[in-house]
Formats: sequence, structure tokens, C-alpha cells
Amino acid sequence: MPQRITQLRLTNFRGATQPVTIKFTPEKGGVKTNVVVIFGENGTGKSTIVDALDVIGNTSFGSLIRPGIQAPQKYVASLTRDAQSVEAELTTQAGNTRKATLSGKTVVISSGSADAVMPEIRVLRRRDLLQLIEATPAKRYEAIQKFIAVSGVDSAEAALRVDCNAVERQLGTAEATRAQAAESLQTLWEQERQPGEPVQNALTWAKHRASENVSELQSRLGFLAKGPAGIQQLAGIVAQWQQSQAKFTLEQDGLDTANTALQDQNQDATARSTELISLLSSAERYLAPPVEPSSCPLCDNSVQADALRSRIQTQLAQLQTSRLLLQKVTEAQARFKTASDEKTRCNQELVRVIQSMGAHFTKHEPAAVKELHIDWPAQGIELAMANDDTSIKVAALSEKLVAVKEAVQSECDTLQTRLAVYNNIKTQAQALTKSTDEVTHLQAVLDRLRKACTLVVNKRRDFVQAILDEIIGEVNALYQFIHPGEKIGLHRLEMDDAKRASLDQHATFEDKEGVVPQAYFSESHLDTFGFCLWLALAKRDNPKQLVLVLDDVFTSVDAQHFRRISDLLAAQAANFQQVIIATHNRLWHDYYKISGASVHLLKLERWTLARGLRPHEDQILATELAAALEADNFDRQAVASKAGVLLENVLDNLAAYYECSLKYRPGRGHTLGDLLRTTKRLFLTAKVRRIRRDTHGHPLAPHLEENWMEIALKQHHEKLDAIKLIRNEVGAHFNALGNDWSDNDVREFGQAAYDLAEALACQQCGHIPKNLRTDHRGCGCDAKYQTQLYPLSLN
Amino acid sequence: MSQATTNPSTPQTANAALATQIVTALQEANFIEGCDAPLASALLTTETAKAGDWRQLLEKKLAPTTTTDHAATHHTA
Repeated sequence: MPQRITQLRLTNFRGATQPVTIKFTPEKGGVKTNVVVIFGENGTGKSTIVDALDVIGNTSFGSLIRPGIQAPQKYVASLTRDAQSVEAELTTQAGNTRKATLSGKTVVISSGSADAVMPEIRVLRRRDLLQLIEATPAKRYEAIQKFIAVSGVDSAEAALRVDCNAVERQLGTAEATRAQAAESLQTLWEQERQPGEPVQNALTWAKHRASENVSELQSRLGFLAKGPAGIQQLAGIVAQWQQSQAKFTLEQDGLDTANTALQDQNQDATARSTELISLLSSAERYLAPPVEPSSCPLCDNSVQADALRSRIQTQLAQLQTSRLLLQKVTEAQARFKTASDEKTRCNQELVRVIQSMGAHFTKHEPAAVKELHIDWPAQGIELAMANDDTSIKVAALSEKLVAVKEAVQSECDTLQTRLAVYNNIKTQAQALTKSTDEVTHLQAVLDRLRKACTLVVNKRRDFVQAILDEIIGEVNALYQFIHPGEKIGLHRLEMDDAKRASLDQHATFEDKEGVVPQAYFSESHLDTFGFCLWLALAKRDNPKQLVLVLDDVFTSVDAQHFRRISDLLAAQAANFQQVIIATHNRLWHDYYKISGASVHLLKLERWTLARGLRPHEDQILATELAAALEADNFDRQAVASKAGVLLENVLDNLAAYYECSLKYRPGRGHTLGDLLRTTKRLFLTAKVRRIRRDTHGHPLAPHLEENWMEIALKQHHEKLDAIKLIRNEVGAHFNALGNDWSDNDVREFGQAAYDLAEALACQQCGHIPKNLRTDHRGCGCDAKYQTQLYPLSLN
Repeated sequence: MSQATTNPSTPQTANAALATQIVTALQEANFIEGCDAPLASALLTTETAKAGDWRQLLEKKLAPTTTTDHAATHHTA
């Protein structure tokens, strides 16, 4: 595991007022120490170390992010130092480094090399412990979203629903169209059905009708429709001719009257006066300016134009009456000519129209016209000349045709209605067939879309629920480790399908399921519940890359549960890159100090502004005892004391595991003598069976019997029982009797205590086997390599 | 955190795993052909699915059946 953190160097970071380097030992005597316990009383700098790991790993200001602190970056630098001088750098076992510095509000991370693999650091603080438990369903979803979010499938599911809805709407429209077409066709069927036509249903009937050949009907209607129009046109032209005839007569009378009046006037005047007026009028115009000729155009004699024109005007005035009558005649002649021309045009138009109609009716004669028995070919010959006689005949014929025009129109309308019904039937039948096809197709498409949607939704639900169930299983397993036999745990995590980004949480309490944990669990239970949920999620999240950091997390749990949590962390630590525990709890520290073979202990001494953080290497008790035994300057009191504490702890644990009887001493603990006495029966048969290890501390193949060794414990007990008084007489009190014991005796006592502890403790996890197995007790290591303690019990 | 390694429990891998399950189920349910599996997988993983994409995909297998149904409808009518 080359990403394990081996060193943390701090410069002007929070409590590190002096540069300090904290070293984490990755292994000890061939045993990996991936649990680091940093013990320090309050105010010794634990949070400084945790915040440094947080800022390097997560660019987070850690414990500074809390209500009341507006700009946490301002408080990262040590007192009297500025932000530019802050540095926090970690080094991994592989030698990779990562450094955090500050630039304004931002944390700047730089790595020793671009491709350096670094661990991910996950920090849990006490204040975060209940975050998952007490969070709203939406916030809880955010925390777990990483494991259950399937945004691609969500997006596809939404698109699928959109398609479902769109096709559903199309189907509704198609069904409405089909219903309308069916209703229309049904109505047509009921109205138009004829005897002998198909009777199964409207569509069958309609298709029969639609198969009818209607081209002849259409052709006939086309010809027939010209009949009424032709009659109308003919009548119109007859009316025009009649008007022109009347006008002609009128204008003729007017001309006759004008001529008569002029003739009467001419009887009183010379016959030439009319011509004279005409001649004088022409001469006057000739002499008028601007030409004003100087000679006569007839005789070529010179003339005075002005004088001559004046004389002509005098003469004309005398001839005025004749001149007016002549003018009226001229005008009457013009009007008569116009009337005559119009009458001629009407005569011609009548001939053209009657010829055209005759030709048309010869081929396509309407029934009503036929009843008039008109010989159209003969009429064509008779009415070929355009004159008044012909027009009179045409007018008579037109009168007859106008009389039957309504009948012809009716015949035409009947045919038209028949064709309209045909077209309507055909259209509705086609609409019904088309909409039926469309409905069938859309129903099939919708069916598939809905089924596919259901499939996707169910798969997604099952998938997500399976993940949630796995998380629940893990949480409950962890929880039972800490609270064995207690009827308490997580019952169900489930997505709210209506809200989606929402995760409901239900717990079990006693035999009741689905309870709200906050309402039933104690403070301590909630703490461990939150911790187990956090740990379970961390285990799902690529644990081999994770360094877990616990910052003084547990304050409300008792000694027994501290031990279980410690054992749990020791067992779970193997899943992670490293577990770093910062605690001010001496109970927890002492527990690791006594039985923490795979734990690296660090102790923080009192912090001062001048000296900053003061980390010191701490040792487990057995290691301290071993060091005291090997010291050049032999400290007999220290050896006797440390051996006594170690021995009492080991025997106390064994007495508890095997439920040995102890004399009750109110207000006092049990003595070493008490513990040796009550465990004597156990030691008669007790033995430890453990796997042999190579020089690197790795276990040999567990399936080979020769790779296991057995250690009988009886002689350890006997030896210690014989010299147990050294514990008090040398290691505890001022007592003259202690002088009777030689250094060798004390060394022998210390060594025997160390040997017993060494024989009992697992070389990997450092714990005395206590978990009940089939015929023995096992430690918390991997089942294949567990250290075994016999017997299982004393009963 | 530029050095963070690939995480096997990322939403992308969870989505991909679920998408694979769904595509297999769609094939088993005869909604899509094997040749359309990559298209269905893309719809489920790329967040680019838009209106009409699913219909187009699911109609593919439906089209011949519909034609047959139409013929039958016409015949009985």
C-alpha cells in the first residue's frame, strides 16, 4: 500500500507555530500499522493535524468551517504569521508528496510529480457524526447519491416517458378521428343504404359503394351543368336583342321627325339655303385665324379675311334656324346608326348562341328539354341567318327553354348530390380505414413503450434498492459488532420515487420496524449508528484508496463500547489504506496501549505558543516493557510496574472472557493475586494455536498443519504465580520486602509477563482471541489466519 | 485532487452496470434486436436521449408485425 501516509510536515499551520514533522510508522516488526492513534488532551493540537490532512486531501478548511466563522482562510495561519507562509505537506510510503498552500481564499495543491498516486482522505468529526442520521431525506440522498445516482438511466427514463406521453396523445387524436369517421359513415349508411346492398356493417357497405364506377356520372354532370347556364345566357341575349329592337324603333322615329322638320323649313327657303348654310359654315372655318388667307381659293382674287368672315357670320345668323334643324338631323342619324348596329350584333349573337346550344343539346339533351320535342338539327338550319326574323324565333324558343330551366337545374342538382354522397362515403371509408390502422399501430407502439418504461423503472428501482440493501446489511453488521445482541439497527433505506432525490430511512428498535431512529435511539446509539453508516459508505467507496481520519468522534460511549469500536476499527482497518484516530480519551488511548500490536501510537504533549505542536512517539505497553527489560540502566521499579499493569490487563480480560469468579471488593479493584487465582483452572488446559510467519511477518499457508504452532500457557501461569509479589513489593509501594527480590527476579517477572502477553496476543492485530468459534476463541483477523485460544469456555 | 484514482463505485460505473442490465432485459423481452443494443446502451448512458429516440428504437421491431396486422385488418374488413 504505497499510498499510506508516512509523514505530515506543517509550517505556520494553525497550532503549528513552529515547523513540525509528524511521522506515521507504516509497519512495526513486520506487522503493518495502518491504524494511527494520536492521543492528546484538549488543546494539544489534534485538530491542527486533522485540519492539515483535510486541507491537503480535500482543500477544506476543516474544523474552521462552522457557524460564526465568515472567512475561515483567515484563521489557517498560526498566530503572528501570515497566510503566505502557511504550508502543509504530506508524504506517502511510496515517497509521493502533496503540498497545500494558501492563495487568497483558495487552497493551492501541488504534487511532487504529476502522475503521483495519492490517497483520498475522508475526515469524520464529531459534529458530522449525526449528519447522515438527522439530515432531511434530500440531504441524505446527496450523501449517498454517489453510490445510487444513475443519471444516464434517469435521463433515458425521462425521454421514454416523454415518448409514452406523446404517443398516448397521438393515440387519443387517432381514436377521436376514427370515432368521428365511424359515426359519419354509420349515419351515411343509415341514410343512403339501398335495398340489395351489403348489410354487414357500414364500412363493408361503404367499400361496396366506393367501388362503383362514377366516371360516366361525372361526365354527365359536366354536360348537364352547361344546360341551365346556356339557357340563362340565351335568355340574357334575347333580352338584349329586345332592348336593341326597341331602341332601333325609337331612333328611327326620331330621325324621321328630324327629317320632316327640316323638310318643312326648306319649303320656305330657297332650295339652296341648306347647301348655302353648309357652304358658309365651311368658309367661316376656312377664314378663321390663325391662317386668315389673303386670296379666295376658288377665284384667286385677293380678299380681306376679317371683313369677309364678318360678312359670312352675318349671313349665317340669318340662316340659323335651318342650321339647327340640319344639326338635329345629323345627330338623329348617328343615334339611329348606333341602334341599328346593336340590333345587328344581337341578331348575330343570338344565332351564335342558339347554334352552340343546339349542337350541345343534340348530344346531351336534359330530360326536361327533351320533353319540348325540339328538333335541334333542323333548328340549326332554320336559325342560321342573323336577322330579325331569326331573332324573333330564337326569342320564342328561349321562352320555352326558360320555362324548363328549373327542371334542368333540378336534374343537375340531383346528379350532383349523388356524386357528393359517393365522394363523402369514399372519404369517410378511407378516413376510417386509415385511422383504424393508425390506432392499431399506435396502440402497439404505446404498449411497447409502456412495457419498456416499466422494465427500465423496475430495473432501476431494484438496482438502487439492492445497493441500499447492501449498505443496510453492512451498517447492521458493523452495528452488531458494537452492540451485539441488541435489537436495534437500520431496517430500510428507500428512495422516494415521487421525489426521486430523496432517501427515507427507517430503523428497527426492539421488534418494531420502520421507526425514526432519532425518536428511539439513545445519544450513544445514534453516535455509533452515524459512525457505522459513515464507515459502511466509506467501505463502498474504493476503500483501498482511502485514508480515514476520525477527529475525537466518540465522547458519549462507555468503556465496553470503546473496546468494541476499537476492535471494529482494528478489524476494518485492513479494508482501508490507513485509519488515523485523534482522541483525547485516555480510556481509548490506554486500550490501544495495552493491546495495539498493529497500532502506531502518537502522543501530543502540552501545546505552547512558543513551541507549537509537540508530537512524541508512544509505545504499546508490551513494547515499553520489552524496552525496559533491555535497557542498559535497568529500572526494576519500572519493569515491575509495567509488567504488573500488563499482566493485570491480560488476566482481567481472560477472567471476563471466561466468566471466572472474583471476590467482590467494594470500592477496590482486583489484585494480581485475585486474577491469578481465578484464572488458574483456565490455564491448566489453556493453549494458543497460531499461524507461523515468514521473516517479513507474512503468514505461511494456513492449510498445512505444520505451519501452525501450539503454545501451552500453563507454565506461564505457574511461573508468574510464584513471583507475583514482585508486582506490589517492587513495582508499587515502598516496602522493605521489595529489597529481597534481586534484579534477576524482577527481570524474570517482567519477562514472564511479557512472554504471556506475547503468547496470548495475535501477532497481526495484537488482541487476545475472544470471539466464540466452534471449539475455541478467535481474534478479529481474517478467518484463515486467526489466532486461536483454547478452550472455548470453562463449562 | 487531480491525482485521485478511478473509483469503481462512481456513478458512471453504477449507471453503466444498470444500463447493461436494462439492455439485456430489453433484448430478452424482445423489445430490441442485438444489433440495436449499442444504441439502447448509448441512450441509457450518455444522457443525450431526446424525445422520439425510444419510439424510433422500439418501433424497429414493430414495423413488420404492424404491416402483417394491417393486411389482416384489410382482409377481414
